[in-house]
Amino acid sequence: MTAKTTTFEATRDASDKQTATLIATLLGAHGTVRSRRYHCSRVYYDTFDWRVYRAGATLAHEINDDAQLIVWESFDGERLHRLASKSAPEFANDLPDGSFGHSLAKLIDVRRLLPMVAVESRGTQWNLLDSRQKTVVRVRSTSTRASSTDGTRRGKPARTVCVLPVRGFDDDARAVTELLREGLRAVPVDGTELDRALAAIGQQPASYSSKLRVQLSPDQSSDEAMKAMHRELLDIMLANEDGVRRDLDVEFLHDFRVAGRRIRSALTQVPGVFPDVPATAFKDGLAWLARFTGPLRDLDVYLLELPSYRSSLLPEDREALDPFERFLRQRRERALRSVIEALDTTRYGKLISDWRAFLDGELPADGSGLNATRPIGEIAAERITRRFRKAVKRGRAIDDGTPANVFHRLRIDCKKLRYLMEFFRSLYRVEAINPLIRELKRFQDNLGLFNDYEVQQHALRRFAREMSDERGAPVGTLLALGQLIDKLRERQLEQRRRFNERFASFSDKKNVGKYLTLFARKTTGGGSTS
Amino acid sequence: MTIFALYNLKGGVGKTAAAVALAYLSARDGARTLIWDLDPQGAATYCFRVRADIEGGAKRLMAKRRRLRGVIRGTDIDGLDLVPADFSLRRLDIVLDARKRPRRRVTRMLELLEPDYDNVFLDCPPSMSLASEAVFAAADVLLVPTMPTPLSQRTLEQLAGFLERKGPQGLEVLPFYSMVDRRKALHRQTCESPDGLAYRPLSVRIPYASAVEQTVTYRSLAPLFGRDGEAGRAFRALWEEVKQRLADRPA
Repeated sequence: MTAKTTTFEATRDASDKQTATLIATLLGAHGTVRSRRYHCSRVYYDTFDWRVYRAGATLAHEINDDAQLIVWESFDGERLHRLASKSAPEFANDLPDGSFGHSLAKLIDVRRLLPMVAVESRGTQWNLLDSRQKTVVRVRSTSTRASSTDGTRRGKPARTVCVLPVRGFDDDARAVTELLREGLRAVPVDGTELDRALAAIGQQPASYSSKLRVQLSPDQSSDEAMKAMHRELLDIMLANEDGVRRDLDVEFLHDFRVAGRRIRSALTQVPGVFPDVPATAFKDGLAWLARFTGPLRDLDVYLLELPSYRSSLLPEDREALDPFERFLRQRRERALRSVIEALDTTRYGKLISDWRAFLDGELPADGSGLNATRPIGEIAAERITRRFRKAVKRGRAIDDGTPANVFHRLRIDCKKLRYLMEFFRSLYRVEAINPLIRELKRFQDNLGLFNDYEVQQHALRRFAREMSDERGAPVGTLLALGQLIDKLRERQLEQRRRFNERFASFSDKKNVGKYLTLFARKTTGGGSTS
Repeated sequence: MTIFALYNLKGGVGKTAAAVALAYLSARDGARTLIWDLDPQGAATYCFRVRADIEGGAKRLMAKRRRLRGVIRGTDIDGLDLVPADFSLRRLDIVLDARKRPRRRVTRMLELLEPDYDNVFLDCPPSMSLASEAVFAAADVLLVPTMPTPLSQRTLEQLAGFLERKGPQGLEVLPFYSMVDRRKALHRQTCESPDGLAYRPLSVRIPYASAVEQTVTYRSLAPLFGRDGEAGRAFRALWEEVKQRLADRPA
């Protein structure tokens, strides 16, 4: 196992020069030393939701004295991938075909890499040589300064001393680390350069997640608990607004929409908690907004599906989809403009500020709805049980002749159930609720795919008609779309065949028992059950 | 991971210099690169100033696949690591012969390094033996430095004959002219008329240059790449051509 990079924070009372002299003296006693000036500037990149960092790694574009490259390192400083490049990639598919590109695509999918922080390091590097004049360990003393990538915030300069091991010469690295620890009276610091740089400009890594992190307690009054949850849901939604406007990647819109849908779902499914006036107005406002964002998301989905559409056709037919792609892209441009216009309206601005004012305001002492002062644990259990029973009942009525729209309704039931379980996850033991969510998710995947294939068949038919009406689409394109519709029907049938098995495992005695045990206990506290 | 083997049945053709230069250029591209010195003479190991010594020798190294990782040494070049040579590699044939499936041994050992490296360069001893067969089986690309003389061309034909009979499927064989001395009429003539060869040689020719010798002598890549000399330029062009040939290969 290769030794890790060790970083020391140099004492502030010694100057750069004094530190350098001390290091040179210490190393000189250990062997032959060669020194050189060192300069390196790095910009760290990650996705908006910090996928690289969450995977225990950092990704940077580095310009040093010898090279310009993209470096993907583990938190230990081990280089997982590297590639010479004059610039950082924006998306995973900007990298050439190879293991770096594939690993990055697996991690960040369609998300864009955004610059998170810039770090400028200057100083001296010493190479400690053995009797063959071979470098066995490197030591760097640098003055490092972090700044935000828009240049508005600059951290204080920090002085660090790094011991960089050379593979296969671990003993030398350990000896030098010990030598410097004693000689410089310095303490090794934890974390990566990225952690320190973000701290220096007052930021935190992994600060955004689309997942709810609010912690509720079962005895909390429902209005208080739901307000806390709604504040977080609104934060998640608004955190994505800028990325939607700037069209950074398709996930911003998706997360923006999902947050909006969860807010509406929470307002409908947990009724009688807030006064009717702001709640209904906000719900209606979000529904109005979804009329603009929905078409844009649909077009994103078809554009994302396009590669898989293409590969499902014979190679000679694939080009026939080019006019379809152009059609989608033009439509998307228009849809994006409509979304931005909607976000620029005073209606949207007022919608958000009114809701924010309500969430930040005082709660009425006596509660404002029927359920306002009831403990949230009770309401959660009641709503989840009800939604679960409904879904099971609808599922049981499905047979071979059931039309697609019933599957769609069941899909919605399950989605609502899923939202409820995620809203209230913090009220239950992780090991009890997570398996239920996983099981539900498996079932939802089946229903979701069934519905996607249904919707896509209709949409492709509609697109084909519109393309043909608007500009007389090439026959080849229309035929290719016809082929795709056939394939989608086949895939849909496959999902329908799987339904029985998935539903059986979702609705079997064991699973029903788990729901009843976990969510029934909470309702014993009295109160109304509707 | 792409495995390049630098190989020629004939010695003294500039094989080690090419292995060292191409591995260096690969690392400069940013690829995580490993050079495995399989030649008991240990010239590549010497170039990187590493001790040509593996604990327990070739026998111990080849006995357990995971031991390969333990003997890797970082070179002074960023992104380039080395498996040093050992004098016991002269008996590599015997070591391999004592094992089951000896021809698959090098392949199986390198499989474990798949997540760590993008490019691997094998610097092979000049011989035609069980060890060479194990290298042919592991390699994706066989780079054959060839001097532009009739004798060298004959060894290339011998190699082609062997690979046709017993070589692995899908091995890309790329000969290139090495140690080309344009003052010699024979060299010029041979380079100009590569017809009738079993493989089309790469178009880039590596000149006979003192910079190549100095790189090995002074154990530094500076004479080759430090200033923009003819030999350094030739190696750069050669590496680009090799990459291009691989990119053009049908999937």
